[in-house]
Amino acid sequence: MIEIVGLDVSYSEKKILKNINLTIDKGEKLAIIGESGAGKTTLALTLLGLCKGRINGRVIVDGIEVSKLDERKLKELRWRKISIAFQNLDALNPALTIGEQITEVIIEKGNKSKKDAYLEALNLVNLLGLDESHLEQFPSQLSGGERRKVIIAMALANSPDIVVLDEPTSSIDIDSRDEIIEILRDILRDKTVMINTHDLKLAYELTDKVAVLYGGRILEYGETKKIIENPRHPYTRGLLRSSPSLNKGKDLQGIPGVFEYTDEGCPFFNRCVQKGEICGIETPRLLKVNDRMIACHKGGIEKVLEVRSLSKSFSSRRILKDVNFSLYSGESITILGKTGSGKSTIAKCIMGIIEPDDGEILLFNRRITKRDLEFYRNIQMVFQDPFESINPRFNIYEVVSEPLLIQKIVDREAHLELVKDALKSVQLPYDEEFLKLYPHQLSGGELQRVAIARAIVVKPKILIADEITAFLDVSIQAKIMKLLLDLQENLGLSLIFILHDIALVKKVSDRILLLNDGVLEDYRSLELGGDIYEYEGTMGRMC
Amino acid sequence: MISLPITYSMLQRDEIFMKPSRLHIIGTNWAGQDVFQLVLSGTVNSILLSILVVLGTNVISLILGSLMALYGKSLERILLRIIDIFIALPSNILIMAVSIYIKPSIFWFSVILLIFGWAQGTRLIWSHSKRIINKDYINAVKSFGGNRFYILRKHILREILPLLLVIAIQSARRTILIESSLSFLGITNPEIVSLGKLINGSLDFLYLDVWKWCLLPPLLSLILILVSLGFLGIRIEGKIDRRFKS
Repeated sequence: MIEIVGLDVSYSEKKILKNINLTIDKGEKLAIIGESGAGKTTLALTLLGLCKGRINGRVIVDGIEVSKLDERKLKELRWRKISIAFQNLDALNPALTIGEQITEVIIEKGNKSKKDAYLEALNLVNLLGLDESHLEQFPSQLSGGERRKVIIAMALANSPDIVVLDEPTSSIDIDSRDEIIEILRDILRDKTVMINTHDLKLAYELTDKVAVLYGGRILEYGETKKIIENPRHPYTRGLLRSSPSLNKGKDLQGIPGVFEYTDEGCPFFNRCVQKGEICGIETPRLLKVNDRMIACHKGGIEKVLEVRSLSKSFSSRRILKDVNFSLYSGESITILGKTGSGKSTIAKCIMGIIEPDDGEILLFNRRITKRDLEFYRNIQMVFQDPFESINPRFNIYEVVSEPLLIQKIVDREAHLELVKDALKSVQLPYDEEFLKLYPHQLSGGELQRVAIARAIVVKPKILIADEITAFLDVSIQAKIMKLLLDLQENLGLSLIFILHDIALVKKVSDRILLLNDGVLEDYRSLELGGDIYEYEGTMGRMC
Repeated sequence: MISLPITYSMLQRDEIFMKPSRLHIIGTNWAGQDVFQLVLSGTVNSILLSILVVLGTNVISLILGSLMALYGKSLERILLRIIDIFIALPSNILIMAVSIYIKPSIFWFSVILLIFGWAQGTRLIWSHSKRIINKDYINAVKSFGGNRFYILRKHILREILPLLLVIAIQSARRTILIESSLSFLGITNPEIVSLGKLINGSLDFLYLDVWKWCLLPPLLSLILILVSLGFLGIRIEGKIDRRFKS
């Protein structure tokens, strides 16, 4: 029905859309998601031939190439085939009543009599949950939600086959939004639809497919359900994490940095937490990866750690039977289980503190046979009790600089700066006086932050946090967890939490793994909020 | 310049049993030698011996004790059994027996004392190192990639250095006590000046008035050394205890 091939759109020298290839089949509903400025509206306008920019590539609507049509033909196309509901609520003429505006469209597009047009207008507004009285009113007398419905009604006039909705739920309250979603689901049933939105819930509820647009390029494309439930591009995941409507479980996290226009390399380069050298040079192509298309040099969110059939016994007691799990870049997972179920043993086996009986560990898809300095540069651990895990005879500087001393990554002269940076990022003082303090002069919360600073001073990719809030009171606990999630957001840390507090687990985890009888079960993805009650029931029985 | 150890033949003779005078501040003994010189020489010899033994014990205890704790497994098991055997041996009697047989010089005497005395120190270092190694902060060091040598150097040594001082004082006390006992019994090399020999020699002249300056000075000197080492040990142990508790 709609075919877009190699579409480039530029305004003056700036390319707004770059090499867009998309197909929307008849009756299919596609959501274009992305932040403001991604190029969503430009794409919509191009479909209708309304775009004023320079266009390269082909846009074919129902077999007709839009860019080759003259103004008259375009108008005809817009009358019969395709229509758009604009994002801006001021698209309505303030001097005319709603009834006049809708009937005008129907008359102009459909060659109908005034009476028929009025009846059709009434029918349309009824469909959208408005009544005849609204037709008599001026736009200024309507609420935002009502005006939004009027704009949608106008787009639906003369029943076009293809409807483009540009941000149909922006700037309206949540009840009106839910109502509009319900109405749209009903009236768009047989139509081919493209919805531009940054509201992921809307995309999730109404569309079959979704294309994630960023910096004028499509970064991820595939079935809506699969992408929203399991995003595989770092940008899509960032969008989902910042979406309050879909993210009921974990605390909101943003995406670091701001959009910067670039013609070279991956458009997401400056904000991506797993970027490599090539990402800044070469633009990744949209390629098929399993069940979707992803434009990423690393094939989407990369797997940073994999644990395969890990087992460990202490004397005759089998603690871990067959533990398998993977950790992706920038992801936080929680290992949950009863006291004594072997949660810490998993962490210690990964870190090489305990030698496992069997199993293998893969770091960045490489099997680890010997844990060398490089291994420990990538993966770090924070222990349960800071008073135990920090040598009481070391002062704060000695504590935090110790990993640097062992790793020998930088000269000693550079240690001080790195130590200060690490302390700064855990929101501790970093003046000379503080650096000379000894652990017993600090509170538990401060010392745990010192321990975190020590773990992040070598800038690891993975951080294992073993019950790090166990000895802290609630306010400090909240601060420390927030801190780790912020570090995750900014540095792309992958986190493994070992926790037993369910309420906390929900707030910090992307996934929960339940350690039960020596086996780790992937419990459920909490990315969508999901039904946590069932989960609490399980834990309630367990603990 | 005198060479160590000091022997009887190195000391000048005068008349025997002279009373304290300006020349001999606490008189001379049965052989006409200056008692003050003798006591001083005996003390120097004792200290020389204890330095040798202390150095040896500390080095062996430190190396073996920390290695056992660091590497664990069979090395630890085997060495612990050997330590048990050495601690169970009646070491004083064995030292006596060996000394009678070989009449050792100071150096070889220190070797004998070392052989029968390394076990306690090693065990102490092992148990303390073991306690440190099981701490979470050592796990943390491992998780930064720190190897065993680093852990020993940066973490264990800092903690057990004061402990070495305690071991040193204990073994010095023990060495001086054993050496003077054996020389009192006439088992050690007769050439070397020793407080034990001086005490023993004086006992033959108890019927004379001279015992006051022949017997008392070496006896008091020995007691003073042992008591002061004892007090020093108690003080240091107390300090270390407080350190471990804090």
